[in-house]
Amino acid sequence: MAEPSQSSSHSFLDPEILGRLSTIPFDARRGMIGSVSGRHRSPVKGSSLEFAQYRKYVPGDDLRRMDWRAWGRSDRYYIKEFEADTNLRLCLVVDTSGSMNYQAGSIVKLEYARQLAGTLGFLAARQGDAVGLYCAAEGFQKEVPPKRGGAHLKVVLDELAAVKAAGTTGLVTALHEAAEKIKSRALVVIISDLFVEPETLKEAFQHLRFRKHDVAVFHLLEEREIRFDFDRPTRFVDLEGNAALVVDPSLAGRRYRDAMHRYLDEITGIVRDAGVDYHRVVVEEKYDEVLARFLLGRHTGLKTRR
Amino acid sequence: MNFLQLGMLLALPLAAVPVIIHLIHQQRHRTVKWAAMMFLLDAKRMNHGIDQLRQILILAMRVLALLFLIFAVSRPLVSGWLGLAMGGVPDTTLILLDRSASMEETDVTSGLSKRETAVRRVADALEKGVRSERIVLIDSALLQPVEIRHPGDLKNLPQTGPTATRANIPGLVQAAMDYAVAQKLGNAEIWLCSDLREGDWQPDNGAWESLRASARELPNLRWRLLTFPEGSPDNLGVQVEAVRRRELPGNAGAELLLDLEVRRQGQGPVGIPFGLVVNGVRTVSEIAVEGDRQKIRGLAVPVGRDRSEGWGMVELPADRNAMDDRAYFVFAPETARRSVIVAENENIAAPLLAALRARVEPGAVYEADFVLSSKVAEVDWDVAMLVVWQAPLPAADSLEAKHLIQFVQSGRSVLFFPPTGADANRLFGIGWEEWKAAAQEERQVGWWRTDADILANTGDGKALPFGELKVKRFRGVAGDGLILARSSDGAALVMRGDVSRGAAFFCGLSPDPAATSLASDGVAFFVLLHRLLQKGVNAGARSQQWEAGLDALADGTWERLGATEEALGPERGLRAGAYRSGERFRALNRPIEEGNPERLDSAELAALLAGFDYRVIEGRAGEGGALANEIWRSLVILMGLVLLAEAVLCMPPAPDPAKRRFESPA
Repeated sequence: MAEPSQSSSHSFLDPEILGRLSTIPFDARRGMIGSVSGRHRSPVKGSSLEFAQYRKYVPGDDLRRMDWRAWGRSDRYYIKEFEADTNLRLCLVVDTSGSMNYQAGSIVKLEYARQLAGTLGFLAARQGDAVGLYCAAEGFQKEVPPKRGGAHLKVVLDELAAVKAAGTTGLVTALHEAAEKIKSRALVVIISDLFVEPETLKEAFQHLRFRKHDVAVFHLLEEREIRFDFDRPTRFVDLEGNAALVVDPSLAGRRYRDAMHRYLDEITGIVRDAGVDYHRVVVEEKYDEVLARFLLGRHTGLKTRR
Repeated sequence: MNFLQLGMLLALPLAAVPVIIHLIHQQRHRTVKWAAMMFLLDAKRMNHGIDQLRQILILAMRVLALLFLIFAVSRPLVSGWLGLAMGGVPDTTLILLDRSASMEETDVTSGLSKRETAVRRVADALEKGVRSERIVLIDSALLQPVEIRHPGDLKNLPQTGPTATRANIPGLVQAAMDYAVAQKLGNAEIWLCSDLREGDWQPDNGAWESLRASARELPNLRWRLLTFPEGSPDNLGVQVEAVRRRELPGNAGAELLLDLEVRRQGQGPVGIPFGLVVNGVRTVSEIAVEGDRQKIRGLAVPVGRDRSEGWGMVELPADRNAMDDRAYFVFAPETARRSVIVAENENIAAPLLAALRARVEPGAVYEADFVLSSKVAEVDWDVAMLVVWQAPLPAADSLEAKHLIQFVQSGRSVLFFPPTGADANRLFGIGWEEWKAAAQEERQVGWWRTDADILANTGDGKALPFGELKVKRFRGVAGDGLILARSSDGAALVMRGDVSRGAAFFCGLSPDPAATSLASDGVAFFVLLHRLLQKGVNAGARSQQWEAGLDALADGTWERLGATEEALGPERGLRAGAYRSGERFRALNRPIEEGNPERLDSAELAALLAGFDYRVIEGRAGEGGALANEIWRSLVILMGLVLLAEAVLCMPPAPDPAKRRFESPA
């Protein structure tokens, strides 16, 4: 696998971070159904070296997989099955609604999302997985179906670099559509601020899970959005529209924080119920640390399950 | 309300500054592009009503604080009762001052009497604030309107000085109304300063009815009563009721017999030291007093045989009212006590003659002459001390009427009984109603005045048997005088009409035995006649015990005895003292009614002033506060309170437990 282009359009990728993170395998938590052989488990039994189970012989089975030793011991025919290794279909769903233009300290949320998505895409492609991209804002703004190969990765990265945040959020619709469009099992990574009604989000997650997708969410927030520590009346302009609201934090701050924490609690409950790999990310945190935690968490979790 | 720094009120628009700043501030908010609008909208929606109310309250507090500051700097003046100021500045301010002797009660600390306190407070109020174009003073002693140029002059005018007189409040109120009508006052404020003594206010005076009617017709007069109802619990007062000189048998010389009355607040026996000055020689003794009122009859004071005339005074220890601590008396050889009875026939005159010739006081000579009503010209008006008139009233412009009026003006009294025939004339503003037959019940006298005047209780407090009289027929008395007795059906039976120093008394009960038992049940009749005779004696004898008053010294050139002059002009007669004019001696004292400590309560006052637009401000002698006070201190305190409230409203809420550190559940 060739190194990705380091042109200015892919400035969200840091080779040093890529190099460091490459040492950590990018695993799926659930069996994937890929088109080629890979390093991920598949629900279909295959011919890898890792023993899976014994199964009774039925006519038509490949005699090469017959376990003769078991026949010798029990006088019965058993087929010895091994785990199938397949490749991963990584579908990156990036929220490109106007709210992702939020300037969180020195970085815009969308830029942060680019770094996360680009790095994950590169890591997946590097280990031979297919990478696709879905940009969600009032429906799919961009859609690149998952494919393998360096050239395709470049297409994904180019699209990622070119995407702009605008309009109202279409994340929920995008997730429902993605659940329908992505035919086989895939790892769906959602990178968004999730500023939608939790109830609608719950349905979207359940839809994805119903389609057997492994769902991971990077919930991008800024510390200030949670703490709301403004010290004087401020005019807030909606990033997803032009509505403006003058708010005195001393009067409305407490209720804002109450609403925010109620929302976060709801999100926590939803992702727990839906079995979503949820990562609440404060964008002041370095994205490589977030990704390292994410990759290690998946890898160690997978090893534990094995 | 008035302002010492009126110009500062131009800064009032500055009170709008907080609102303007708020509006500007709203336009100059820092703008933040925000993603999590859904929570802001939630918070805003939930907090909208409280938020707005709080903002409005904060703004209101700031505006109020500025208003209070501006008002404080402009130094507002309000009267003791804020509502007084609501009527605006009057065109004319009338000051009615009660200068009665009781107003001389003094505050021990400040040394100011009630009268002085009233004058100072009103003067200060007018000087500092509520200044009208014209200020007019009418005092109770002179009853003459005096225009005042500057309020400060009030404190130094002789018309606001002390007197030993009794105030005639109905007369004072009438004088103010007359002035208001004569001057066609549009918007006037009348300050009436008084201690609410019943004796001064005369709640039974028939004039109040017409005053109330007048007040309703003069709604533009606003009455302010500055009252001093506080009494002096330890006050002592003395009055000399009568003085007689008696030769002692042999060569023992002579002595004066004094009838005194000592009043005090309190009960139980107590010894009171008193000083007695006779012709400048002072002796000190002690009298025992029981109860609140003690009559001392015939207190003997030895004088030399050659001392047939002179003056003296009785002094009590000084207390809060110096005016009633001293009473003057004079003595001189007595002249005959002559009465003249003018009657329609001798039968009616007979009991009158018998009563008036009876010798009451030892040594005194009592004479009484009967004159038929048809021969009035025979009456010697100069020597008579009492005239009893039982005949039709003379026409107002007749010679007889003039003689009667002059007689009364000289301080002597006339007692009128009803004529047998019809009589439509009026004299002294009083006339007769028609004869009225009594109903079955013979006792017709339902009420009479027992506290003062000619029907007052006897010295031991017992009422005259006036109610025991049997009445077959009577004539009601009609007029504007002071009613002293009423029949059981409410008709006026005895009325007094005051003219200058003297008085005319009208009695609707005839001494005719065919009409009443006045002559046969003679006690009340006798007392009545001799009290009136005594009044005449006081006015016509060589030694006269007079009440201080405007014309008390107007009938001659009077020289003050035993002291230097304290006053000049008409004010001389208003002060207590002993005087001499040729052969005559005259002692001026405060009226007996001034010794009555009873005061009107608020209910009685309200009844008396029904129809008046009045407000009452209670004061105390020596009270330093002006009627108009600067209230900037209160405003500053209010401003502080308002700022405190604003600070509380602006305070951030209690630490928010929801503001906890964010932690990812992952």
